[in-house]
Amino acid sequence: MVKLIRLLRGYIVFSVTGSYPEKFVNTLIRHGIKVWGVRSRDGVIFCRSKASDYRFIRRLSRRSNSRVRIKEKYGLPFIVFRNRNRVGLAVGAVCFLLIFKALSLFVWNVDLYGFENMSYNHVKDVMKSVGVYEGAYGNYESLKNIQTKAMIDFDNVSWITVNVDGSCAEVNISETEEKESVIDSSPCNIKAETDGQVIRVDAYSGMSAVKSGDAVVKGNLLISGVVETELGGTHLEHASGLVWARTERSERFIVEKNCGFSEYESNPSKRYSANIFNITVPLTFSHFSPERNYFNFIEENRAEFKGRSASVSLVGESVYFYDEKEIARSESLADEVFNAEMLLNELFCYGDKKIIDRAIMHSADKENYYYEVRYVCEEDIGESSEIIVDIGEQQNASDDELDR
Amino acid sequence: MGSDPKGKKPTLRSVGEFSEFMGSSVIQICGRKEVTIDGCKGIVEYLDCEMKVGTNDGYVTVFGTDLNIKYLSINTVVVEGKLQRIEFSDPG
Repeated sequence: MVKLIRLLRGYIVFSVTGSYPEKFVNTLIRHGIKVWGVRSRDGVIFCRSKASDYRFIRRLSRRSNSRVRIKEKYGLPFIVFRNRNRVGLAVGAVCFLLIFKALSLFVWNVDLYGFENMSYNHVKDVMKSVGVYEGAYGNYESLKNIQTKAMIDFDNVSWITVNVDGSCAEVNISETEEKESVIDSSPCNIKAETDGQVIRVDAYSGMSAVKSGDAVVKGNLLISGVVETELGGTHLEHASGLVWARTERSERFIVEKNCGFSEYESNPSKRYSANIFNITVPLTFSHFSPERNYFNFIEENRAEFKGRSASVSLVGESVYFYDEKEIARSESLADEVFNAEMLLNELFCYGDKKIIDRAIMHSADKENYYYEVRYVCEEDIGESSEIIVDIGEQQNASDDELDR
Repeated sequence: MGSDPKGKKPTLRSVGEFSEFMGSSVIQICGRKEVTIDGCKGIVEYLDCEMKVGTNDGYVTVFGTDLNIKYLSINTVVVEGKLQRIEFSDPG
């Protein structure tokens, strides 16, 4: 800091010669002139002092029969003096300061923290919509308003803080945590979700209404939540249990005879650009025909300065061109597509069921191949069904039970 | 030099004040690189490898190579360089 101040104010290195140069240095100190960096070389003493003190130093030297001579000059006043005729430099310096000041009014770096379930680009877009983006005017009137607006735009965020420090905006986001599901213990029955033949009943609570071998249709009562007490009355329970039944299900798949597909070029066209203060400067000029179908993959590498991303980045764009084509599917190809679709469907929709048997029926018309799969499965067919209770009636029933 | 409110005991705030109070100079040597002389009366002789400083108790001569004056004030001088020896001598 001291060095910087000295450079701004300007300082000189002068030599002291004469019969007793040491005495002259003592005289300077006694007169309150600050000297530093004093060194002696071959009988000559070199000192540093403020440029403004030199006139007084020279006057003192005349009185003490010493000779002083300026050897070097350092600092801003000397640079300005040397370049006093170069108007362009002065104009450039003023322009630099003005541009520097103007640029410092904008936000050039937005750091986003604290989110895990949302994508970076989504958060960036939302923050941009509320006015926090690179290149935005940084004189925000109310950061609270911005936080509130952002909170409305995000679905699952518990709080947001936006701090602006100079040209850097820091956004901290805390996402809401999903609440653990509360176990429902309200009175209910277990009813059949689909038709089937009961194989086994595991009733954990409630009273089993069916037994192994019974045929049930959709909506039939399987486990009752209305349980008889030892005294002959009834009370309501949350029925739970597993009712395994053999069921029949069918799925229909349609495979088109003609299908479109995209044929990609193996080598992507690459182009690069530099993003400087939100201004994009193209670096390569590769051929690009917008008439063709394409998708692009953009990769941005930001420069970092002291652990913070700077407002300069190198953007690489890989453009993959493709042509839409159509082919006619043969029967064997259609079978392959169907098999793949069927396996996927079984994986996602029949994961909790045990497939005992499957029968495939195949037909076709001019446009499509049709596949119908009939499954025989073993599955838990029970589903909870709420018991709607009239509180008045329930009270009367309990009173009756007590009277008995 | 500072003093307590009653004005009886002087409170010394720096080595310079201490040396002034004691009437003799205080010399601090930091390794072989730096020597601080508080209570100096001025530079008597200054050559490339020798510096003679006047103090209340006489002269202190610092011998070494590349001797530079890092700081110089009316009471204090800080000499830096590669120190070899320090000699004390009487005036006259």
